[in-house]
Amino acid sequence: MALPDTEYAYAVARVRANEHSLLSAAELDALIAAPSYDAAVQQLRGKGWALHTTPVTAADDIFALWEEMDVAVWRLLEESAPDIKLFYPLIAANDFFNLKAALKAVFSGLEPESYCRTPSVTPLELIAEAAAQKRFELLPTHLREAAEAAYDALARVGSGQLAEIIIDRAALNNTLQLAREGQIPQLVQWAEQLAAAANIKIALRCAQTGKSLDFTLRAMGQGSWLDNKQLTAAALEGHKALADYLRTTPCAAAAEALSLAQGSRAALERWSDSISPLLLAQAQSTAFGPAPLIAYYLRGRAELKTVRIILLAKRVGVSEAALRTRCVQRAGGQ
Amino acid sequence: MVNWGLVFAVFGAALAVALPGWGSARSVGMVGESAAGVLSEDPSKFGKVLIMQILPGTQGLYGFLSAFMLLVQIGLLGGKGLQELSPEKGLLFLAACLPIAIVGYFSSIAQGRAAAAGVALIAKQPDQSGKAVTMAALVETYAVLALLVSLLAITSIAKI
Repeated sequence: MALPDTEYAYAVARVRANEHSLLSAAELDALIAAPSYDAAVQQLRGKGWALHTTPVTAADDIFALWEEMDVAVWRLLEESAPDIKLFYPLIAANDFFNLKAALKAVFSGLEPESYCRTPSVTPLELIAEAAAQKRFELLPTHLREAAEAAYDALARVGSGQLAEIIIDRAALNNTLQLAREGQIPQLVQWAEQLAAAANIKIALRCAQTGKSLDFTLRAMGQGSWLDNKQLTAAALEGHKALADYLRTTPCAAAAEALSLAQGSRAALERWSDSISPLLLAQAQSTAFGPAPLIAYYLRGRAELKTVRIILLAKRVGVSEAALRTRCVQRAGGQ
Repeated sequence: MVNWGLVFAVFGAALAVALPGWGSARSVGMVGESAAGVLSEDPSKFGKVLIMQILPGTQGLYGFLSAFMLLVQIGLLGGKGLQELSPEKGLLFLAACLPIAIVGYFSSIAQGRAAAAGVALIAKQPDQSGKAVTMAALVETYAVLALLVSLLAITSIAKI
């Protein structure tokens, strides 16, 4: 249940004290314009990124840095939020990602630790143990059913794709359920946008690959913004029909992204990655409540994603113009 | 026989202390939480955030001052001896306490919110602390007005 806004006074103050460490739009712009990879790293060091402790010498190191900083942003919320469980929707999907890694590890013999995602609600060790011993009753309820179904799909049907959609759908539904139970309006809206974006992408992908209606519907999460049947039907008709349908839903911005880019996946990705301007405005203008915490976590995560893209692009020598089209200023204004 | 005038007057004094004191305690606590959040990241801002925390505490003092003045006027304090109070005069004293009791409570809560927001502003932009103090201090105006009315009313009623 949602807490009174004033319960967040301590947490909001800590977030405000840390907000200056996020990259501004101008700083991201300068990073994109950096002449080389080394110059970009130098700029990040100047901003206090701990690149001296984690030398960014290979793509793997960039991913390690990403994990490390994502955990650091989450830890701030964990230490300061009056009830961190209310914010679990933000990281709930990582549990399911780790379940996927653990199940794949069972069949491939690889170590799941190399593929895990942090921060997570359920310890990876527990998920790995449950998967290795096929003792899914060890898992929390929200993971158990998906784990059993996905394991069956892998072991009996031999379909990795089916296992993936089972777990991805469970992750979406769990995120939605946690957000609704927490009754924080901003998180509910974020989870709905997440589910809507995922469902649109699924509908498009299934339409392009000729998947059946049944398969498509099985893969989709149960968000309330879109009617999955109408969405699938519209996607099968084409981008125009899909955009027309989306305009009648809370996903009108996605419709514009689809229309402007004539169905470009990048435009849709940008929309799905974007943080609601309403949430950012609420977060900026209040000294209480959960909005600043949610916005800080999402902005931190978006910033990490953008920085990772920039560093990898700089490493392989992608041109500034090409990089600029890919990178949206996800962090928003400060 | 119950001295209803005294009962009403003391009830007024109790309200004048209790409501603003309650509001101030809540607000100072709330701003303290915000201040602790900032200090956990940057202890050097202690001086700036302390001012913000003190601001919503003044209403509690105003309530105390009003109650003290009333208790002196009715003779419970000050050595003059207990005054004979009619129920009407007691009710007038009670009414005189209401401005600071009510405005004191609500203004301290409002000032606490403004001060906590100011703490958040200081956390992000320490050079804006003057503006943060000013914005929170403006709420004080209404508590001061209520205090003045309560004090003037108490001293005037005492002369009736």
